[in-house]
Amino acid sequence: MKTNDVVVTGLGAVSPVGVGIESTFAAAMAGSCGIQVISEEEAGGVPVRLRGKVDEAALKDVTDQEKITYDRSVVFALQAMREAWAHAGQPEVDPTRLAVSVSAGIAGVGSLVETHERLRDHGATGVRATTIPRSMPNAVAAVLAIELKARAGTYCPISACSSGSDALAYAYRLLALGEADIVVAGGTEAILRPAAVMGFAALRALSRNHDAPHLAARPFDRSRDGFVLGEGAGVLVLETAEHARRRGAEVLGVLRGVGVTSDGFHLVAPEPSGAGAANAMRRALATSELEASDVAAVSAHATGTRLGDAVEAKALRAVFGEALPQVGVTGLKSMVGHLVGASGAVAAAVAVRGLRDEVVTPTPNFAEPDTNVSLNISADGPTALPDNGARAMLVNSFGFGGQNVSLCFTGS
Amino acid sequence: MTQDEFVSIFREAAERASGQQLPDDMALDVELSVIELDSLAQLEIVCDLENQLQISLSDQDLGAIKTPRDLYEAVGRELAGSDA
Repeated sequence: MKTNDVVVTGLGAVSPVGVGIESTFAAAMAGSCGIQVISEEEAGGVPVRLRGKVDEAALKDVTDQEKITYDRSVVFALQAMREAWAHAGQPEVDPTRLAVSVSAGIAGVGSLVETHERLRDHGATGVRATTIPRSMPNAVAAVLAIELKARAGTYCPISACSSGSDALAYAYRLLALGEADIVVAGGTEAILRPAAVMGFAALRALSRNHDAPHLAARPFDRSRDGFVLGEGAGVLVLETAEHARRRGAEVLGVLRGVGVTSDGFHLVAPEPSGAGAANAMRRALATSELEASDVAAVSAHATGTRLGDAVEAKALRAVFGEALPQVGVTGLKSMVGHLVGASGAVAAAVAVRGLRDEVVTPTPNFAEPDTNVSLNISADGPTALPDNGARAMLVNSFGFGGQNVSLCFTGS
Repeated sequence: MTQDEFVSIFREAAERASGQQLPDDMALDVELSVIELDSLAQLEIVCDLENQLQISLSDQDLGAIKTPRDLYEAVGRELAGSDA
């Protein structure tokens, strides 16, 4: 039973269009493109060379030592966490009431690949002592918990591309059920290595539009041909409304409710009716005690794959019915690419930031709709929340394995 | 291996492991934890030296290493052993 309301008091983001929530949000409002074509040498034999890369030099809040000690996914998470924690005013909180819930889709894979290369090239003594601590998936949460001295549990719910959203949903439950006063929550991902990229390419999931990289990520567009792999992290400081009030914290937004479902259908393909995705949105609304008519906008998962976007459009149609044209739909991946386990967390941070200004970021590259479902998508610029009183925003995130997570936010 | 040779490769390994430069006047008898090399960084340095020098230090050796001099002596014993 829900006992506490959950508010957002800090935001942090690392993305291909900026490091920091303000730079990421400003770039998203401007419809900036974070996608580039890398050299054949850097691509390491992988024929897909489109990437959404983070500007290494902009990672100002992590040290060179941390970049050596930790996997890149942890480095991103540290940068985003430190921003969010500062944003929240470095809260004073009982450590036994502070938890961390941060995850990634396949954190540590880069470090494991590196170890394989060292073993191959240098033999057994080439393997580093940091191999396991760099590769273990829960390091993305544990390193943050160590820094924050969080003693109310460290969680790392892994669910492929919905990992970050799942971590936020888990944090919501911890707070709603009274197991913590503050949870630092989000997702991170850093898998732009040839082996991982080729794995996605082998699934035919990636766009190959090398001639026009700025047009490669095209959520919901008729000519979409897959997603562009990116990297980054999003971290939110979530807190019980009561705790935030007691310490006089500025409330940036409210996480009203969450919906988590599973397709129970296929390891990579979404269930074609979209029922699992639709039910995640319905559950998010139900736990929020809101109706579909309260939803002003949806930050869609919208990776730009043929099948995934079509199924999400179906799910949106099922949830909103005839009112769908009144709901603004936005796809952040059109600008940053697919940040895999970080995608839902970065989208959530951008959504909360947008709700503060009552705006929804645009979806550049959307030109021609698919024939079957008509969505209210703005390619040209941000849109204001509608004047019908609807003020909630859903953030959808789906993952391989049939994972569906929908988060419902409202402004403060 | 001379002491100077050891200090040189130790410095490089420590820098790779920690991303930090060691103090120029580092004493061989300073405790590793005092120069901010934690247990993981220490193991990383040991792995690095084992790889470069093609030696293998035993768990017993490692347990006794508190300072760069301890490591220098353990490496020296191992190198002497492999020459013999």
